[in-house]
Amino acid sequence: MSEFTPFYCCYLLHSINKKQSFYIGSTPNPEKRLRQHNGSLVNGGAYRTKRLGARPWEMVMIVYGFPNRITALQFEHAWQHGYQTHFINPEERVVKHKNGGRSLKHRLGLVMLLLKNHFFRRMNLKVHFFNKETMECWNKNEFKINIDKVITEVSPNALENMKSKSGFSVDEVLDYAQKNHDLVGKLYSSDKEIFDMTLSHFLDILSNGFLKCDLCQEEFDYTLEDSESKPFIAFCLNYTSCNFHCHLKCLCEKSLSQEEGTSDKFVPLMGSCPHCHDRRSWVDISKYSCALKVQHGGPD
Amino acid sequence: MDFRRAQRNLNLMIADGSPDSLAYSDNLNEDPDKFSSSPVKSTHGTQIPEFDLSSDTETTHPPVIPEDKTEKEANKECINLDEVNKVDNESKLQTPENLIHNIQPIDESNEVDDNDVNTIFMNTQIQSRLDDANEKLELKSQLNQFKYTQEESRSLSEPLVLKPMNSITKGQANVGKKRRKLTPKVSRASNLMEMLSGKNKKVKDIIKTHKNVKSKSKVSTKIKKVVYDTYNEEEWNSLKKLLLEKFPENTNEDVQEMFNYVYGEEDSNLSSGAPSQRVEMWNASQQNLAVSQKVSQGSFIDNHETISQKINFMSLSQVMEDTGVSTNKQVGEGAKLINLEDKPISVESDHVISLTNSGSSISESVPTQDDLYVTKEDDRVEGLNNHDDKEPTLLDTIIQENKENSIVYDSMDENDEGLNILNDKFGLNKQIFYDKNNSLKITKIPELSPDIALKNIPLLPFNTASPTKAETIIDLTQGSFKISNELVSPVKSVVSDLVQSKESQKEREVQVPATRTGTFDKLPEKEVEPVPSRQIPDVLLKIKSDQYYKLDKLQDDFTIVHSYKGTSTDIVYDSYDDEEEDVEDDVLYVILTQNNKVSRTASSTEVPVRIDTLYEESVIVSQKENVDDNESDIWASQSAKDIRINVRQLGLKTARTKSEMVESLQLASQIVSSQDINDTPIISQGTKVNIFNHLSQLAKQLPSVILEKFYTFQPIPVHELTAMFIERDPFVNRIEEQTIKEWAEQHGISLRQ
Repeated sequence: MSEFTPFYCCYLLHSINKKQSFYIGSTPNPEKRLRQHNGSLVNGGAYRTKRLGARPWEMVMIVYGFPNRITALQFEHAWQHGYQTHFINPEERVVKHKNGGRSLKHRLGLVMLLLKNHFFRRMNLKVHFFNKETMECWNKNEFKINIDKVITEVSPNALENMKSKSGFSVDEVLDYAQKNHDLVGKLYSSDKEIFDMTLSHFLDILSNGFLKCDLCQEEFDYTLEDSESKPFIAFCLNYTSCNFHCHLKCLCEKSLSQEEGTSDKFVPLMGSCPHCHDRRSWVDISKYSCALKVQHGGPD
Repeated sequence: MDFRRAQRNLNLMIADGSPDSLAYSDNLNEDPDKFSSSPVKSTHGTQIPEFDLSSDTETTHPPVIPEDKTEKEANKECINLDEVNKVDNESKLQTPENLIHNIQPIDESNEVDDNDVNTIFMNTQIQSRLDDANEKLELKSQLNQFKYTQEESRSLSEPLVLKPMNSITKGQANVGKKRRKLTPKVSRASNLMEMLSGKNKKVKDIIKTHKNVKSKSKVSTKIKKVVYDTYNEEEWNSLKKLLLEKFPENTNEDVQEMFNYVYGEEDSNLSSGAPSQRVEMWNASQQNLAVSQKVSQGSFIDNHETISQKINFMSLSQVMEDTGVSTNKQVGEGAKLINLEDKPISVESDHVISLTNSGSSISESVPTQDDLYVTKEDDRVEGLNNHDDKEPTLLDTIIQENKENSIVYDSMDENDEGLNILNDKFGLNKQIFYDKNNSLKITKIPELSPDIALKNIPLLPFNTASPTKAETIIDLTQGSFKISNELVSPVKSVVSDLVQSKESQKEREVQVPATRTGTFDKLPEKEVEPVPSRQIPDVLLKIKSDQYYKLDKLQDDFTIVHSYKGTSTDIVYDSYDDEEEDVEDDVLYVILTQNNKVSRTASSTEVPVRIDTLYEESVIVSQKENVDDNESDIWASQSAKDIRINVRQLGLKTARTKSEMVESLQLASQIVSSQDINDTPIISQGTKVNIFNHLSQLAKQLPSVILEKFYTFQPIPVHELTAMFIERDPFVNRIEEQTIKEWAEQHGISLRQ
């Protein structure tokens, strides 16, 4: 529980000056991390991106929605080692050698293959683009990878690559990097804002004292010191119009029962509210549940 | 001479004409004490640097020493000057003060120009080096008397001239070195010389001369006698000359005395050029040359000085081991030729039988007198019977022996006519044969053309592989006694057919002694088919001989897979009793398998009962065990590598031993059999699905706290999860950790190390 993070993402950096340079990383705070890569923040390791001529870096896309840091690190490692990761079927590999697959399309192809994997597919990960051309490359899907269920987003003011035959001035490059930084910051802050607002709403509900599980009708009280009376609680994420709350366990069982072919499953893909039938990713549902537990001194 | 040199130096300085030098010369006679007061200057003349730090004034006038002059040279000059002074003392009887005066002019060089000082020192340097060179030459000239030969002394005195190596390239030189390393053949004589003298140079010289003599002897038919042990005759003569030159007062007799002192008096006649009748000092091998000469001068062919001989040797061991030959050979007393029909032929012991089997000339002589046999002087041995009357017997091997030694000579293979043809190099074709009257016949045959002769003459009877000329020559002076490279005897080849036929007969007549254990005979009345690999027999019956008829009753339900006869003690391995041996009866062991038409239930229940009722000693294999045995046998029949692959495919841990892996597979099959509804063998699927299902079943039994971690994506340590699984089913311990990880990933469960 101590490793709980509401936001964790894997990102792809693209050098503005050196178009052939990419960097794959993971972070719970992409905005801060981008500043570290570009040298705006002195603290923080950014050894690989310090190379001369590569800065400034542009964060062209991120994959987010990881339930914890470990899965994000697993995804990052698999993305970096697409030629040998067990998350990709060897027959489907787009990068087969260590030194191969350094282009953008290969990097994106690896993301597609990883999101196809059943492990990451269960997390309902989202792909967000800050660069239009990267998104176009994604949509182009040169390797013809089936990515039907992958959620893709694009920033409203996504950047286009700088195009000039006579080169770029320093100010132009810095402006471009700043714009990219703003986009990343905007996404991160908005996500964090939504999360905080929702969490505060649920905390307010819990602060009322005794509550009943709408599914099993058992009581729980998060105001008590007893940890046993603080089970994992699931709220309807459509909290503005629905006030459903239950044990996370009950919702899990219900969701599993609703899913086909999950007789021996333990984690549902989606969770739907029995009242408003709002379907949300189970990762999101469990994320708030864990956050509530952490806020109320839940188990480590 | 030194005095003259000193005078010359002085004259040179005076003749230089510079006022300083004049003043310098004047100062020699002016005041002897004037400069002697200065110790620094006096030592300066001797070129010995002196570092006196007591006075600043003295240090302001350091001794002038040429830059390139070393302390050693300075010392030498000092000595030279002392020598000069000595000469002066002797000639002019100068006082020590004068001596100092003689040195003083050099000391004055501080006050003179530096150029003059340098010239003085240069002169002394040159002079000293000249002196050294002279001394060396004198020493060398004195040492010349210790030189071994005049040639070397000349070479020392003469300047060295580097001769360009025109013909030998670098590569060739290397090859030569390599060959030398690979075949370090040193002649026996050279070895001996080296061991005896210990002076390599000397030895090399001796060997060189020795070789020269040898080569000369090869070229010329005249063979020189080697009668000296350390030095040959030529060397001794040169030594003698040298001694007489060096010591002209000594006479020839003195040299002879010296020779006697060195080699003893018995060899004195040799030094004076006496004929070679002496016994060699060192070894018998050196005698050979002398004897060979005698042989070569023998009476085999009188008209010629050299003989083309070829004698092949067969070792005693070779002869003895050759049983086929030994039955046909007898070694008679004296010189006898023994044929295959046991007919020795007496030959005079002082004659050499020299046999050639081809027209090739071999100029090497044959060893010692004792080791050889000589032919008759007229080189013909006429038998009592003419060869035309009786068919000449094949002469394959001639064994000659005298009273001391015996050497087996190989002569010929048989030719078509059963004749051996001697073809000497002079065109005399001879037939050697012997008849049953023990008489050897050597008759001339008409001279054949080379082609015809080669056709008729068999080649190298001992070596079927026709060895080269060098291989057939036995040079006793070279290394150890070498007989033949090949141990294939022609005699063997002659009798090989007989031997082979005998052996083949023996092989046919081989009788293996009967063992006490019974040999199983197949049933004559029924053909036994081999047991299929996957077909496991159901029933093993042991039927006594008087109950064979009962088998017919089982023919409907069972098929006889295998049957064999044995005794009742065949199965009992640990208790073998001699008393039972007499009692034991013939028993038929029958392995039965069920027919297809018989259902499993029937076979497992009814039939064994029937068999039991019929035969008390039957062994019944149940149907269920049979199935398990099938799988275990399949796995056991596979190689460890294949089993390992199967184990990996199933997601189980591999083990070092095959049995452990088979055990894992058996356990896995049990799990599957309990779970799998379709009763599909686990091997046939070859996937981890069944293992995953088993793990999922186990995970459902886990406490709710763990299940909470599952759906809240809290990472669980792998080892904790595995431990919990093992608590519920120890079989999980045989599952690979990676398999558990894959299962977790498939179910969206986060794990951590």
